[in-house]
Amino acid sequence: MEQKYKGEFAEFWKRYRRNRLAVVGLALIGLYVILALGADLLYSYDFITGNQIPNAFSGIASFAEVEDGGTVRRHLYLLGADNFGRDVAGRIIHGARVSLIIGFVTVAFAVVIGGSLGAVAGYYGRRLETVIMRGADILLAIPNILFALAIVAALGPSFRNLLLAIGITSLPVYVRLVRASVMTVKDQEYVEAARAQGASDFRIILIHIIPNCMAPVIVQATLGIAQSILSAASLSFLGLGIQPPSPEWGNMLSEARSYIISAPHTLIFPGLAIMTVILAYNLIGDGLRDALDPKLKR
Amino acid sequence: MPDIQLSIRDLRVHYVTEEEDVKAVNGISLDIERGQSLGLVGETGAGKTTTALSILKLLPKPTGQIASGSIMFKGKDLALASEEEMRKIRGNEISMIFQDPMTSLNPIFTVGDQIAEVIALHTTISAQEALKRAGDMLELVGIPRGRSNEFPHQFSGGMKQRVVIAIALACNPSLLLADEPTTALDVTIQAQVLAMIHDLKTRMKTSLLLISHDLGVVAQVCDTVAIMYAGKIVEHGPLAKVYEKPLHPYTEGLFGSIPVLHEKKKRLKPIQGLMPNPADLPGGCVFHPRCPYAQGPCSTTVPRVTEKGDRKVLCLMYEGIIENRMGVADV
Repeated sequence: MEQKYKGEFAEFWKRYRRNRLAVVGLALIGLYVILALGADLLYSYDFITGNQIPNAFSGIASFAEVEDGGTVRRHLYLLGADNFGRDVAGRIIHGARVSLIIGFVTVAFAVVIGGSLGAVAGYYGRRLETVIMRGADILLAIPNILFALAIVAALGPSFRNLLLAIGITSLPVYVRLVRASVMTVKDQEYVEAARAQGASDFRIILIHIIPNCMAPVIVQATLGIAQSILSAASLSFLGLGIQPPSPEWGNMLSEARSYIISAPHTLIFPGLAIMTVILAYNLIGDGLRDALDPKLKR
Repeated sequence: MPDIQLSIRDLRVHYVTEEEDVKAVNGISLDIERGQSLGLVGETGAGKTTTALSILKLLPKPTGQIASGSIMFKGKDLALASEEEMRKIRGNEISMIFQDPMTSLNPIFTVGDQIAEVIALHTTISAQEALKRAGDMLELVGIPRGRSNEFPHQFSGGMKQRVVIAIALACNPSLLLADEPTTALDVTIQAQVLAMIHDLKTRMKTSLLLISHDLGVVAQVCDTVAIMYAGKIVEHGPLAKVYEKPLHPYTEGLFGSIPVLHEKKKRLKPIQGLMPNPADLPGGCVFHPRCPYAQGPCSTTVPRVTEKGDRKVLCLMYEGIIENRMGVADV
């Protein structure tokens, strides 16, 4: 069994590797994940949220005396300091944690809930399908960011509500995608054969249909993570997401926008962080699409 | 007293759509004894597959409906059985082999897993034990056990059909429904697969309902044959006798359409005309518009089953209503 899995993965990796940019994207995300995991080792959370007013707007790669956990030490501001003298590099790395979590959690939520709804709609059809699909259509008709804004405004800005808002807005894409795939797979003869073997509807959907619909969902989910991170940053920028002083790329941009002329580094680096992560996920998504497309096999 | 496994009585199946009622099966009666194999022969659209699907209650929902009749299996009427009861029967006591082995295996699971699945569904043995049994089944159909970790695309068509047969027989069912199991295979492979089905069914004492449009295939495997036309069984009897001397004009027409190696003929004699539209069947005998012996009463009187020894036939000629011109009144 082990052997078989390895073989499949090797095959997949061989196709994925052919797209150089996709490998670059994967490396970038890998870097962000490692930084996010090691964030506490590099910069303590208290340090990057605490004020160091005397060092405000320190330049790139400048040294300054800082107070960290009761002691005073010399600190290298790798990417400079912001208006409160907080380390921009540290805030970006801690912000990466938040962004990556938002990306994964919201997409996982949307894929599981949206995917199940789509599978049920596609498999059973008829009235159930109408109800689910019209619901999805209604969600699609409202601009994503406005809808998320409305949810957060109604429930109040908190991390949980942010996840919920973004998760719900990204639902309908997966409902439609999975429904369409299920409709093509459910008429395959092996599904009828499974029924003739006495498998239940639940088992048929879960074991026989869903795994055969995964390729487009994986691609969409990868692109969806980028979308979610961007939405979270936008909401935070508008003051409805992660609240300062918690570091988040969107609220870093929001705070820094007053100093765009006097201290551009406070704005440029969080912006670059958002840009590179989104780009990396899009590159991975393209790579996966090519690697998982059966028409391009061999 | 013969041990009857499956007994169908006056089964009618309709496909109900908004525009019309398609009468696919119109009152057929069949008995299959334990270990016996019955061939169901007919043209495309005669209702063969519909009959098999209604035994397993796998008719396409919501259009396909069993309008009346009973399907008795082990003292239970399947026509009235709940979905829950049917799930326990499917794959366990009644299995079905589908026409196209290329598409009836799930492409993303190994063949071993797929055989093990049906065993796991109907027994309480461990996954490991099920996989072992799957290996046994593979060997039974002549595929080395070592290949159970391979995926369907690594097998040829004939091998895939063997796997499908292994799945169908994995739970040792009492009845096997084979819906044109060899249509998608080439002739040599077809012969192998048929020989194997015959051999396995004899060894496992499984009853078989073989659906085919090929009289040759049926001759190779079956003991009894039922000829189906427009949702009715027009002739039913022991294979040798039916092939020797058809009673029904339709059966005669079917044999007339087959080229025979040792006879020199200028032309084959095909049956005139086409199958009637099952949504708009002709009155009287359904075959009368195409029947070379048809007479006046044929278009008005619905024929009833006439028993002639161990054979049954559905034609007015044997009811004494019209003159028998086939000249085979005495069998």
